[in-house]
Amino acid sequence: MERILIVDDVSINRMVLTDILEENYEIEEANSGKHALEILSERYREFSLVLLDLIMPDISGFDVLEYMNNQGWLDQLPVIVISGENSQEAEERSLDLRATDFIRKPFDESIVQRRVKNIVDLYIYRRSLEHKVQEQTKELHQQYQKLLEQAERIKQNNERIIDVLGMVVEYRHSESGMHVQRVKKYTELLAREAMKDYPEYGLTEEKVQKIATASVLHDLGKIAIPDGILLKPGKLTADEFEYMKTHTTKGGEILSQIKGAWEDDFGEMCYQICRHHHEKYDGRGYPDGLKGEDIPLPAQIVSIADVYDALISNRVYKKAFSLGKAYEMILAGECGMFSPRLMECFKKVREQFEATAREMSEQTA
Amino acid sequence: MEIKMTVVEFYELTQGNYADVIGRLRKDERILKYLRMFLADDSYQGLCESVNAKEYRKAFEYAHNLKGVCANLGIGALFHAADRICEELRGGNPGSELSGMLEDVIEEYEKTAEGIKQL
Repeated sequence: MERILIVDDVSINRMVLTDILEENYEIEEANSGKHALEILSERYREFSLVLLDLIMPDISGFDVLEYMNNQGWLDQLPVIVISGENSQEAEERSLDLRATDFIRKPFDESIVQRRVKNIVDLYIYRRSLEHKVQEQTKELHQQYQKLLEQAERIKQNNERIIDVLGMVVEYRHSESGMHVQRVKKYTELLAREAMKDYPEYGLTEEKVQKIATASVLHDLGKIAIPDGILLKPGKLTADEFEYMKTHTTKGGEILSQIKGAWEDDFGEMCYQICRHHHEKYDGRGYPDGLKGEDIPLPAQIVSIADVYDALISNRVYKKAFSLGKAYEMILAGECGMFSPRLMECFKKVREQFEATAREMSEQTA
Repeated sequence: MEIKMTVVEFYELTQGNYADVIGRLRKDERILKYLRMFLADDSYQGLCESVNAKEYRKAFEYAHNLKGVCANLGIGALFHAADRICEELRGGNPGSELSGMLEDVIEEYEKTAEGIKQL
């Protein structure tokens, strides 16, 4: 049974209202504003309605309403003012203070019963709706969390698959798989420096991560190069070298097959890196001879990282250069020309590159 | 031998509207119950005392309570007397007519109380 609090300093008035309502509601009485606030402070949630007299000594009905409003109770607990006050002003002030209804004395029994029932039912309905909304909000939030987790898992799986793909290529020419991991790290360091120093590149931390992830695939096309060329000890003939160069376009072709499986910009980035990581800033690279900023930025960055790692590693056709020597050769343009801005970044990350090279050297692989 | 008065006769005596009261409160027994409680209510007593003590704010509250109860119980003459003095006391600064109004209240209250006792 819903519970109603009747607040009136005149006992006959409380009695009249109790007689009218006790058949359908549980009734509690307060004989002053102070008494009412004591009851409500402890357990306003137990009540479904307050019937409130206005003119009472010390704490008036208006004071009670104002206090209830300030406490935020009126959102859940409706108040009907019952008053002998026949001025419009008292009614307006009550409603301004967020009383739900105003009943004048003398009142009719059945009208009081019906108004009370309407308001109590309305608030019960409202509470049940609020409860439902809360439940649904909670559920939505949980589903959203689940989606976020799934998105994260997909991202991680994606990255793992890409890493494996990069390693597959490397294992084919008997390297350890550390080359692609180092290039990935250099790419990340260089891209992050470029993000800080050159806002015009429009890089963000998210893009930096994507470029690093995609860098692993830069030599994907080598999977389509025959062993005879790929694994040949010693210098390649001119024809063989021309064939070797097609690993860029072949990588691009393979990627255009699966590009759709990734977010658009990521697939595009992988493609750019595969196809263009041997372009040079002065247009003397391959396969397209792109020049300057026509070369996609991710490819420019990976290109530097790739060359650096090639210089400091042993290869079938050459011995490793020292870290210092490799640094100088790149700045001197001995491995082809790179973007002047990226060269500035390269200078700044020299120490980080060298620390990475030591940490991830072949010996620890 | 005691002569008992009916509820209808009581409302004639106190210039009330029986038809209205029974329409709102439904049963004679309930009207009787409230009328007997009315004699125990302290609003009238409090009104007289606080007017004499010139405590007009309190007097207003008592007058207001008296008026409200009379309205609900349909005690017409006393309601009108209480209503008049209530308005005079509103704002806490009554004029010279106050004592005459209080006398009206006293007269009507006594008539009402006498009537209730005979019910």
